[in-house]
Amino acid sequence: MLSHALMALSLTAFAGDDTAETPSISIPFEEYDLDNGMHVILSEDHSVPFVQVNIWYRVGAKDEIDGRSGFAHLFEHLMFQGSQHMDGEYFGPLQRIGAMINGTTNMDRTNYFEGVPSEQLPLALWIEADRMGFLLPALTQEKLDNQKLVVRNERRQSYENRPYGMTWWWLFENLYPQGHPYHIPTIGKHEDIDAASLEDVKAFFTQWYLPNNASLSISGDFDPAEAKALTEKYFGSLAAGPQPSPILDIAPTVLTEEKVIRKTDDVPHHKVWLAWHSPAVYKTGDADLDTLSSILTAGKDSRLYRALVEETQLAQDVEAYQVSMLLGSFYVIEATASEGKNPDDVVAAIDKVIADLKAEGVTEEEVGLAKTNWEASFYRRMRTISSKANQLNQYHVQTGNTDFIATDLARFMSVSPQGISAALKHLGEGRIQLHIGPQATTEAK
Amino acid sequence: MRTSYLLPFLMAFGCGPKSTAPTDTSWRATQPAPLPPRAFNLPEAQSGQLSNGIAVFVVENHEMPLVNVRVAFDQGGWAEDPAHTGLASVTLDMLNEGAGDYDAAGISKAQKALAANISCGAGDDTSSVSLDVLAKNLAPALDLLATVLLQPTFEQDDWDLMMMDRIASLASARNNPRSIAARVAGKLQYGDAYKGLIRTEEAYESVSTDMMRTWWSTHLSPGNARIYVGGDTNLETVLPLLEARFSTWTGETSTQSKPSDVAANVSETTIFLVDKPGAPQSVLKVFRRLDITPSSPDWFDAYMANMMFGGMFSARINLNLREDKGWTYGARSSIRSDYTQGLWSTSTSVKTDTTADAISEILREVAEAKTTRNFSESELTNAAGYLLGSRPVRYENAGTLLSELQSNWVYDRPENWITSYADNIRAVTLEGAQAAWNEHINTAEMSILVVGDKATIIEGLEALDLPITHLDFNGAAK
Repeated sequence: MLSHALMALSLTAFAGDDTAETPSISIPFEEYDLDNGMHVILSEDHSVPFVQVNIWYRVGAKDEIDGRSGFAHLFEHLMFQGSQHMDGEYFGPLQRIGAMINGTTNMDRTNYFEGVPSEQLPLALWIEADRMGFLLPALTQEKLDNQKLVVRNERRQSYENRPYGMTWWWLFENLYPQGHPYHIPTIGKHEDIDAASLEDVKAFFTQWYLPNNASLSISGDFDPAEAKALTEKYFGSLAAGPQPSPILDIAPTVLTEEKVIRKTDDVPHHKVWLAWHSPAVYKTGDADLDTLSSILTAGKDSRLYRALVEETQLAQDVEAYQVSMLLGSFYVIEATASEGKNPDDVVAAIDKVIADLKAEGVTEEEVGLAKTNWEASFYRRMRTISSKANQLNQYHVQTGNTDFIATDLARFMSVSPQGISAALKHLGEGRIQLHIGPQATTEAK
Repeated sequence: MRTSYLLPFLMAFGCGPKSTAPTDTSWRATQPAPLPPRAFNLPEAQSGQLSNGIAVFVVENHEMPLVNVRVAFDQGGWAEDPAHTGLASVTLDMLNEGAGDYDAAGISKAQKALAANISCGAGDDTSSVSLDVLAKNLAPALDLLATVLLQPTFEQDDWDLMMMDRIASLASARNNPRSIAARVAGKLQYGDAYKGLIRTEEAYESVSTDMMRTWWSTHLSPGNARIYVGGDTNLETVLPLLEARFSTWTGETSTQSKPSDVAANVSETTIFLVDKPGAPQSVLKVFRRLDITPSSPDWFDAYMANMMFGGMFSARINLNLREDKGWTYGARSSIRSDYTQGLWSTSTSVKTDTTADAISEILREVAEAKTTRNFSESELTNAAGYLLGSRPVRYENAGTLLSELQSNWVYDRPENWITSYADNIRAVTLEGAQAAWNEHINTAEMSILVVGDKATIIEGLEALDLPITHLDFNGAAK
C-alpha cells in the first residue's frame, strides 16, 4: 500500500447543488526567495521515497539573437557536459544513483529536472547549483563541437527523417514574420547551430543563467528544513547578475488575409493545416478556445469528426488544438484528406462547420460535457511528483502565482457558450492554410 | 508578471551582497554524501475473485480521485489466423464503435458525461478494455465498460470507415523510416509468424464483421481474463461493483497454444538493406535471437550485461556513438522476451554518411566487450544503481505494479518475480554478466537492418565485407 499519511494534492468537491458542483483543487507548497533572487518552491509528497528537482530558467528560443536560431536548445545540451567542480558527463554520477534526468527547451523557457531517491537530494542540488554557477570553466571547444553534431542529428531524427516532420517549421515561419521571436522553431537552422561559438555560449550563460533568472521547484519525499538548508548551501552563494529581460510582451502579429502554402514532401497523404493567431496562454479566450477544441474534435460525437470523417468521409482524421505560448498562441485545425478526395473540399467542409458555429454558437450541453472532463484532466496531469514540480514552476514563472491551479481550473469551469462565441472571432479570415502533399516517388523501394 | 516587481531591487546591489569578496569554491568539488536512506515498501495488491472465476487485483492509491480498471486478456494478435493479420486489433477497436444501444458517437458522449476514458486495444500478446474515470463516477462508468465489452454490435458501416483508416495507416507506415524498420525487423526476428506477420491491405479487406464477432466470442472469454484495478478505491468497494456487471459473463475458455517457435538467427552476420531514397539518417537495428528466457538461470546476468552495453544513457554504445562521435541523437540496446525466447537488439538513427562506420562501431563494441574491453565493476555498479535507485518512483502510481502482475500471469513468470527483482539484480556478479555476454551476444549470427539512402551508403556497406540482402519495405527480398 502506498503511504496515505500525507496527500500531496488535496482536493475538495464543494457541492453547491446537484447541477452546479464546483471542483476545487490545490497543491500545498511553500515558497520563498534566496538573497540572490532565486525562487524556491517546496511541495511535499511522501508517496514514495523519491524527490523531484526542477529548475526553470526564464530564457527560451524566443530570446535568441539573429543568426543563432537553435541556440537556447544547443545550450541546454551543454548543461549536461559537466561544470567546474563536477567536470564530466552529467549523466554518470546521476544515473548510478537511479536518477531520472532530462531537460527541455521551448520558445518561452528552458527547464532541467532530475528525480532522485530521497537520500540523494544533496547530490541533485549540488550538481544543479554547480552548472548554474560554474559551467564555463569546464566548457571546451570539443564539447561544443560534439553537441552541435548531436543536436543536428536530433533535428534530422525528429524533424527531417519523418513524414510531416517539417510542418512546425513551415507554420512558424509563415505565422510569424522575419524578426519575430517565434519566426524559427526551437530546433533552429543547421547553419546557425553550426555557427555557434564558445563566445556565444559564454555570453548566453552570463546573460541568462543566473540565480535571479531561475526558479527551483522541489517536490516529493523530503524534509523541508533539510531542503531549505541544502538549497541555501549550494545556491545561496551564487552571485546574482544584472537582471535579464526576457521578451515578455510583443505587439500581436495580425494576419489580415489568408496565406495559402502548398508543399510537397516525403509523405503518404495530403494533409492540410489551418492556423490562426490566438490569445496568449492564460489570457482571455485561451480557455474558451481549448474548450472549443474538445467540441470540434474530441470523440466521435464531436462536430468536425462527424462532418469530415463520419458523414462525408472527406478526411481520414481531423484534430483541433491550440499551441499556447507566452507572447501569443495559435490555433490549429489539421485534417488528412481521404484517398481520392480533394483537400480543398476538406478545407471548405471545415469552414462550413466554423461558419455554422459562428452563426449558431455551441450548445450548453457541449460546453458542459467538455467541462466535466477538464476536472479529470487536471487530476490526471498531477499524478506524479515530476509533473507537480514542473507545474508549480510553470505557474510561478508564467503567471507570478505559484498557487494558480485552482484559478486555472476555474477559468475552464467558467467557460460558457457565449465566451466561445466571442473567442470564435479569432478564427477569422487572416490565417495560414498549409498543404503538404506527396511527391511523385517517396515510398521506400 | 511577478518577475517584474519581485526582482529589480537586486540590481541595486549590483552582483549581490555575497559577490564582493573572491570566494573559495573548492568545497564544491566534494560530492555530497547521501542523507540517511528512507524506507521503500513495494505497494501491495489485494486480490479477490468474481463468482465466475475471474481474478481481480486492486492496488490502492488515494492521491487523486481517479480509478483505473483494466479487463485484460492473454489473447492478442498471436491468436489470430495469419490470413487475417490485424483481426484481433480491429476487433478490439470496434468495441468502442457500437455496443448495446449506443453507436460510436453515443459511446463517446456517454464517456464524456462521466469524465471517463474507455480504451480498447489488442497487441501481439494481449488485449484489454480499460477505463480511467473520476472515482465518484465509477459505478456508472463500469456499466458503460461492461456494455462495450459484452454487447458490441460490430456494424458493417463502422468497419467500412475503420478499414479505410487502417489502410491509410499502412501507407503512412511505409513512408516512415522507423516504422519500416520496426516492421521489417519483426519479420527478420520472427519469420512469417507471430510478430513477423505483416499487415496488408488484402488482409484487412478479408476481415468481415462475422470474423470479429467470432474472434470476440472465442478469445475474449472470462476464462482468459483478469481484472486489474488501481487508484482511489478498495477491494471491498470495487468487488461487488464488478460482480454485479461481470459475474454472469460466460464463454468457453480459449485453449489455443501460445507461440513458442523462434526464427533461427542468420548463419553468418548479414546486412539487410531497405532503400529510403534521400533519407538524411539511416535507421539501424542490430539484433539476434537468444536461447534464454526470464526463467533461465542466467537471464539477469545477460540483462545486466546489456544494461552496461546500451541499456541507459551512460552505457557504452550511447557514449560512443553520441557523446564521442556525434553521429546520432541517441543509441540504446535492449534485451527482452515474450511468448518466445529472448531477443537482443541495438537501435539508433545515424547521419547518413556515418552509416557504415556506425555499424562497424557497434560490431566492434560487441566484440571488444568480449575480448579487450570486458565489463568493469564500476559499470556494473552504475547499472545496478540505476535500476534499483529509480525503482521507487516507478511505483508512484498503481499502474506499474498492476502491469507487472499482468505480465507475471501472461508470461507465466514465477510468483515472486516482483518481490525478488531487486535481489536478482543485486545478485548479478561481474563474472556472471561477462559470461552471459560472452555466451549469448556475439558478433556471429548478427542481423543488421539498415533503412536508409542506398545510393549514398551502399559503397560503405559493401566495404564492410558482409553479405547484403536487399529488402522492400515489407521485408520481402528484392
